[in-house]
Amino acid sequence: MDIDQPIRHVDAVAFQFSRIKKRIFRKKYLKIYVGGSIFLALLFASLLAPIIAPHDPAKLDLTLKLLRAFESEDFILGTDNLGRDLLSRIIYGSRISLLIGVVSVLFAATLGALLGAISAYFGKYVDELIMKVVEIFLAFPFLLLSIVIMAFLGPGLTNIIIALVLSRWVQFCRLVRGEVLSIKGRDHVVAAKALGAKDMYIIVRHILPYTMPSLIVMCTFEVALVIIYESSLSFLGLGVPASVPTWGTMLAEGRTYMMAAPWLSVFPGLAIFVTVLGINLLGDGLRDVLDPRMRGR
Amino acid sequence: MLRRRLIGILPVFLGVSLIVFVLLRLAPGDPLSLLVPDGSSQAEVERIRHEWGLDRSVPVQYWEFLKKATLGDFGESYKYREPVSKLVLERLPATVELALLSLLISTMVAIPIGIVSAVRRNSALWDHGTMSLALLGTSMPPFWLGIMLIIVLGGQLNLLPVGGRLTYGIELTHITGLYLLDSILTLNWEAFSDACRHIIMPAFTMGVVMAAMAARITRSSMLDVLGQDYITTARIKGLPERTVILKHCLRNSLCTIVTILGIQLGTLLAGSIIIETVFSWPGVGSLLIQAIGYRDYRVVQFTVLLFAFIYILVNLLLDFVYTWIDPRVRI
Repeated sequence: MDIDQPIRHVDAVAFQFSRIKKRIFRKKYLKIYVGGSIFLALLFASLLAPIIAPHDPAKLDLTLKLLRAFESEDFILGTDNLGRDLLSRIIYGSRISLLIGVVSVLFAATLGALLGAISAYFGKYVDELIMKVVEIFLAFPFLLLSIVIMAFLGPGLTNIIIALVLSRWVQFCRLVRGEVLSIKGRDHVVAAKALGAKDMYIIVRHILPYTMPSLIVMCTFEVALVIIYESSLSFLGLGVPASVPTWGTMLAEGRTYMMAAPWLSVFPGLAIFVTVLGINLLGDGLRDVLDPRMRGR
Repeated sequence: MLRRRLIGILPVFLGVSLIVFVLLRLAPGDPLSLLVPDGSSQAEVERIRHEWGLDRSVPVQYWEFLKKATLGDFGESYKYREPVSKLVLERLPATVELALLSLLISTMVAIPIGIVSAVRRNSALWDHGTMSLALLGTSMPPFWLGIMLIIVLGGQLNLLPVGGRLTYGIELTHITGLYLLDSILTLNWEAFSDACRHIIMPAFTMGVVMAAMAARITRSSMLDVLGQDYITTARIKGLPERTVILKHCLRNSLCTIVTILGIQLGTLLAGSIIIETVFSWPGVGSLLIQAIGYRDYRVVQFTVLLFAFIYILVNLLLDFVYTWIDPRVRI
């Protein structure tokens, strides 16, 4: 190519486009795309449930009970023992799983991050006290703590969120404490102190933002974990009330008919599996991008 | 050193017992429904309430509980009218047997997979293939895997029994309460084979899900060690690759692997609750769920404290194992 020849505008645009395309479609982002697509699909399904669900998930029709999957065009995934459409119930179930997953993790992350930051920033007795509480919570295997709290609170949507927040905040607390211990000695924090900034202002404005990459990655994995925990609790009858369609309660109901109507157990479980897989992929991808040291680990 | 650590766990254990006690005392529902016969008069109800100490304040009840607990008395079950410690400890061997076999399956699968995938990093089959499987494993709800196995292996193919520990009618002399071990000790091969057929599905269900997580952590830890200078030195010295991996690399990854065992114990204890429910396994986990249903809080309380105690104790033991594996570690 003649170097004196001016670069045409079209070529320049094409070159830029190919660069952007290469950057966007890099292999390292593949997990984010796949996981993110699954997560977005789930989000849309839950938001548009009243539009995309083919039937009312609560509508009973005993004449249609236990229709096999793929047997009827109207009820693609079949019906349950009360004649309710399984596909519609799975679509509506995504609302509860996603709501509980995201809200519980947001609250747990906020509580844990704040306490972790306070613990590391102030040190001494504050640190000792918070870490002793963390140690007590860590002495319970996680699901066991949720079970005890649900036994105390009783089934309910708010209650399960409270139980999961109380079981999971310690993970965020430990993570943020570790990070803040190294951040609090940095020059910008020392400068802010020297300028007379208040402690809470320094924590929120100058320290916590630096923990965000790790927090985002952890939040993603925690949403996946919390969805499994929620379905486990609902399966045990300790989650949301049985009248609310969730994947866990559907699996618990399907268990009674698992030999005669296996589709009642297969599809709700598959929904949990695909959702958690998508979120885990998203978490893996985000970790690769936000923490390059961990790439491919 | 040991005394300092033991003293350190005492406040943790007190905190755990306080949380459990208070939560369960404030829970909705009255355990008196299990204690009072139908049609009892109000005076009778009050007498029974007083007899079981339920008319006292929560702090007084907690103090009484602590005093008795130090003597090994955790009270009687409201439903079964038996000492809760006896009731729970009778079922403990079933849970321990299931947990140990799951841990064995998990370790036997996870550690070799983790090592091979780290050593053959970026290989399509050994690394990407196994790690994709591990990702699938970590995303799978264990109880769903259990249900699927029951449907396929227990229902469709009719290969394995779907619940219980031993087929009704098969005799077994109980020595340890671990059926596999008891059948070996008494050379009762019929019972051994039957116990194996009963335990394999629940143990596999718990083992597979744990193996998936453990394999990923083992691989990550091995990759860290493989990047160290002393591994390069060992290779330059001309040591066989097998020696480099097993002697230099694996030994230095052991701390992480031991940490996995500690984490997995929590997964095992909590997982046993749900897996025992799915497979009708007569262990402590299924007893706990039944007790919550009946509001038999003394059983719930003792079970949770027992699980927390085992969890704390094993993690304490693992701390000492660290010092044995890596003499640089001080606790």
